[in-house]
Amino acid sequence: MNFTELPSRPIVGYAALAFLSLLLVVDYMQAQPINPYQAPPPIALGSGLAPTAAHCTAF
Amino acid sequence: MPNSVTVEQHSIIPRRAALLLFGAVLVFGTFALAGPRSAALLIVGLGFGCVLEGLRFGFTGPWRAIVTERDGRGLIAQLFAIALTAAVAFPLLASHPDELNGAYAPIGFAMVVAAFVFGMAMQLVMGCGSGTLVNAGSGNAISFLALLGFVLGSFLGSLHLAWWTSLGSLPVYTLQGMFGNLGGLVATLLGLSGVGLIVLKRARPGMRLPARGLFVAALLIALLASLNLVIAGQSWGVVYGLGLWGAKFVSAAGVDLAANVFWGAPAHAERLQQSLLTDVTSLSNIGIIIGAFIIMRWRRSPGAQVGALKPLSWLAVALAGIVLGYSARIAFGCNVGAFFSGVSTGSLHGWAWFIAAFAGSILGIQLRPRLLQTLIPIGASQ
Repeated sequence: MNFTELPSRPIVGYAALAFLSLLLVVDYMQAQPINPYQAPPPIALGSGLAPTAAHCTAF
Repeated sequence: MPNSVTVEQHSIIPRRAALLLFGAVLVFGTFALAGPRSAALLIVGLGFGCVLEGLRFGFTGPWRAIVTERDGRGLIAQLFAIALTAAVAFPLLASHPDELNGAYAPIGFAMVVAAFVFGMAMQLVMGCGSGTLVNAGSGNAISFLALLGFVLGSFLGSLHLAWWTSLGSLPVYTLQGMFGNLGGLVATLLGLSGVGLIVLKRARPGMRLPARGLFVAALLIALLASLNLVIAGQSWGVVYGLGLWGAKFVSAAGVDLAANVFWGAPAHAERLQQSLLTDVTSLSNIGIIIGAFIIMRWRRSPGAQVGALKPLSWLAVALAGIVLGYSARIAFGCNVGAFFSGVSTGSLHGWAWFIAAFAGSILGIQLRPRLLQTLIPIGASQ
C-alpha cells in the first residue's frame, strides 16, 4: 500500500458502503429472521407500547 | 463552452437519477424486510446524512472555531437546534411518558472523565460521533479508518462499562424531575441561552450569528431529531449502534458474549440476536453514512481527498478512533446521544458531558499541533 497516495473520495465512499454491506451480511447470517407480522407500529408516539430499543445512555 | 456543459449535464443527470433510485430501493427494501418503522428511521438517517454533509452542519469544527478563531456561528447553530428540539421533546415526553424515552443517564466520575477524553480525541481526529459517520460516507479516508476504530472502541467500552460505572455515579437527574415539566424546559432554554451569550461575547463581530443556510440546517436537524423521537420512541443516538456492530462481528467470529455483564443483560442480548434492520441507532447510523455518500456523489465534483498520511499516522488515526468509541461508550454517548439528545430531553448528564467534553476539546486543540504535526495532516472535519 502506498501511504502517500490516498484513494479518491468516491472510492473511499464505496468502501464505506462495502463495509455496511459486510456488516449486514454478517448480521443476516447470525440474527433471528425478521417476522414482518410482528413489526412494531409505524411510529412509537400514540402506539400505546413502551419503547424497547436501546440507546447510548443504556447501561 | 456549451458543448462541455452539455456533456457534463449528460454525465451528471444519470448519476443523480441512479442515486435517487439507490435511496428509494434502500427504503423500500427496508420497508419490505423490516416494516414501516424501520423504513421511516432509515429515511430519518438519510436526512441526517444529507443535511450534515450537504449543509455542513457539524460539531467538532464549531467547537474548534470558537476557541481558535473566535467564530461562534457554528456553535450558535448547534444551540439553536438543541433548543428547538427541546421545545418539541419536553412536551412530548411529558404527555407520552409510557411511549417515549429521553436520553437519561447518570453523572459519574468515569462518565465525566470519558467525556473529557472524547472531547480531546475528537479534536485530534477532527470528527465526533456523527462527524465520523458523515465524513466516512463522504469519502474521507481518515474518517473511514477512524470509523472502524470507533466501532471497535465502542464495543470494548461496552465490555467494561459496568466496571467504570461502579467507580461512582449519582442517580439519574433530569431537569423535569428537578423543576417540573415546564420548569425543566425553561431551565434548559435558559441554560442554552446562557451558553449562547458566552459564545456571542467571545465571538468576533461578523462571526456571531450563523448564515441563513446554517440556520436552515439547524432547523432541519431539530426536525429530524424530533421525528427520531416520535418514530423510535427514543432520542437520536449514535454510539450504541456502533458498539452493537462490533458485537455482531465478534459474535460472528465465534465469541460468546452471554457472560459479559452488558451483552448478557436481556435488553442487549435481544439486540444482539435481532436484525440490525430493527435496531434504531443502527438504522439512523446506516442512513447517515449513505446520506453523506449520496450528497458526495450528487455534487459535480466530490472534492479533494484529505492530505496523505505517513505510515505511522494510520496507526495514530485508528487508535484515536478506538479512544473515541471507548470514551463515548463510558460517557453514555457522544456529541449526539449525550450532548444533543441529553440536553434536549432534560438529562443533567448532557450538561455535565458538554462541560467536560468542551474542556477536553480545548486541550485537544492545543495538543494537536504538538502531537500530530508529523502524524496527521490537517483535513476535512465535521
